[in-house]
Amino acid sequence: MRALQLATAVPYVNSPSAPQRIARVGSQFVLIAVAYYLGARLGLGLRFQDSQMGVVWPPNGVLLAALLLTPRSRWWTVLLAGAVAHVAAMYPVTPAWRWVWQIAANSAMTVAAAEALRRFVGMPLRFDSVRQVLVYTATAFVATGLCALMLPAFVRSLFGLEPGYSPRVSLPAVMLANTTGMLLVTPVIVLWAQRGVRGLKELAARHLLEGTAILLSLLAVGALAFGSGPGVAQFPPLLIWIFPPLLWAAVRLGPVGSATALFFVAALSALGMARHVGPFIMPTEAEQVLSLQLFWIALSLPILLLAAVIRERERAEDTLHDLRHQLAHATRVATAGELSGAFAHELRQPLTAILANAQAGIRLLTHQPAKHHEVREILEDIARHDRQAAEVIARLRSFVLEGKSSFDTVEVETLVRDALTLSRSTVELSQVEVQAQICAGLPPVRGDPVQLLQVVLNLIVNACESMLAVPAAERRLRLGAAPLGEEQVEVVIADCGVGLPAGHEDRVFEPFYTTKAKGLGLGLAVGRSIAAAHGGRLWAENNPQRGATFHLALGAHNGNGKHAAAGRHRRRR
Amino acid sequence: MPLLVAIVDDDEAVRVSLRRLCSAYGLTPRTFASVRQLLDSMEERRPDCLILDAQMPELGAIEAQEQLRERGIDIPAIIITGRDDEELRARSMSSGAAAFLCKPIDADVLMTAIDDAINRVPGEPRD
Repeated sequence: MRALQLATAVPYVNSPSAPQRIARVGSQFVLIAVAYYLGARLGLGLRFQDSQMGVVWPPNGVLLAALLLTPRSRWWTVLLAGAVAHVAAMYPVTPAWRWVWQIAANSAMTVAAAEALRRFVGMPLRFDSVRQVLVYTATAFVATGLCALMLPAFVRSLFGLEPGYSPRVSLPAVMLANTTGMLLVTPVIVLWAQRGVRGLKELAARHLLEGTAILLSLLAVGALAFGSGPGVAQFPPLLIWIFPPLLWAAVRLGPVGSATALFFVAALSALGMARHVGPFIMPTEAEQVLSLQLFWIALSLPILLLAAVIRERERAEDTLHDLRHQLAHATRVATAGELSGAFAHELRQPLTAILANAQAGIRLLTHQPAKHHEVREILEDIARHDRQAAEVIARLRSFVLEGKSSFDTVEVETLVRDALTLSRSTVELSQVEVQAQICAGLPPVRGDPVQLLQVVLNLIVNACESMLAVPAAERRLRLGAAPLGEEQVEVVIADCGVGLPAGHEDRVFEPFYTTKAKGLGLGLAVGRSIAAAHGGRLWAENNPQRGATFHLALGAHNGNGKHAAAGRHRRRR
Repeated sequence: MPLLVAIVDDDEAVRVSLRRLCSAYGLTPRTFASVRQLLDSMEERRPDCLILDAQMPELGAIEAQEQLRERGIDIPAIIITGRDDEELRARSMSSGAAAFLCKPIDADVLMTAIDDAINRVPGEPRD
């Protein structure tokens, strides 16, 4: 009873009220009905005189888009809106029995197609994978083919009740009219509706600029290709010029740009045909209709597929980048674990000073007279050492935290010095003498500061560990940084340790290869991956006398914003 | 005469704080940044007790004791370290250290160790 009371006492937050729901459904009804009506008028306008055969039937494309964007529980409002708009568009020209028949067939077709897409493709439909595009296209063909078999134009023509054309002509024409509607109208509505008004506002200025440029290019080529008389329009190479802007849209603007550009081309070509100009003016109506329909289908499928392939590749690159980032983080954590003893040692120094100072201060306060001046100095030192300890913790924390990968300008000298700071305790405990030779005036590099630090730090720690078998007096680590050619900077870490396996120096970069008792064997593999992601290289060689030298080459970043061979990754939207 | 305690640690903060602590407890501390500086000062008054950091850049505590023994100098030494390492502890005690203390060091623990080190009877085995 108490649970029930609680359940009824607390209303569900954010659920719309009944008037709000009615208003939303009502506005969707009106929007769908208006879009269907306009599409129907356009379809009827592109129909030949005294013929039931049209080039395209956009309303079914609108209906399918609405079903895909609406929850199944509200499909009845979509179909009702379509039915009302269909009647409004067809009345009084078309007899009632015909438009009732058409409404039933169109509804059955679009519902079947929407259901099939939900089952075999899944929602939301973004046209951003090859599978989605192919399944959508196949569904469109199958659904429209089946629908054409049910429509009065075909059924009546079987019995010779449709004057003017035969079933052999009407079936493909009706089918392709609906197919082109689904290929050209549905994607553009679905993709822009999913983006929403907010998505439009968030669109980067450069995307808007490119989109405008593409549409203007299409307008210019389209006006020439689709708006000229036969003498010019039937010059074959003219149509080829449609492709560059379409390819540009597919590569740069993805499925949304492609669908929009295709819709625009379809509108221009349909307009040309309606004005009896352009390359699709043929001796017979059937030939005109079929040629335009096949042109649209032949254009839309490859362009949508190209956009989907490029999107899939971009997603794969994003996933690879994320995985590489997570792996780098995991190995950083492992490195931090290996350095934990050294960090603990580094923390104990200021803590020792704090405790000794505090206890000395307490003792001094009991002296007569109390030595306030000395106690004051002690307290100031305690504060300073506390901040020092906090810095050690902050350094470790910033190294270990995953954070977001961000490319920045990195000074190589700072990079090397930071790595030496982090590894200071390890170097001291290993009793290694460090000689740092950093050239003055080195150009900065462009990269993720934390990941680059991870690479250099790992090399220093490895070098110290490789020298543990060497007498302490002979343990020397040389760190150098110098320009490499004109476009790169090289960081060199040379040790006097046990060296690399002779003849198999590159093996140390293989994942899970390690000579340490406790090691993941990923540090160098990840380091090489990080170097490659930065457009650089990591390699190693044995020294002539003893030990090994590791080279990290990175692209220099010159002042005008260009960076030589630096890897860059921008998350796609 | 107050006992003279030599504090040898390469970390200045540790040297200063231990010097203050020893002074507050009535000892006379002298600080050195390295074993080399300590050995150079042996010509003057020898300290009564040594506080040596286990690991320093040139010579650590264990090496320092060996050097003193070679010179015939037997001063009780307390080894301090930031590394709580069993192997280091064992080596330190084997080298003859009077005590092995991990940083941070409590004042009572340090003073007790100094007292035990100074009052140990020569030849008496260490714990």
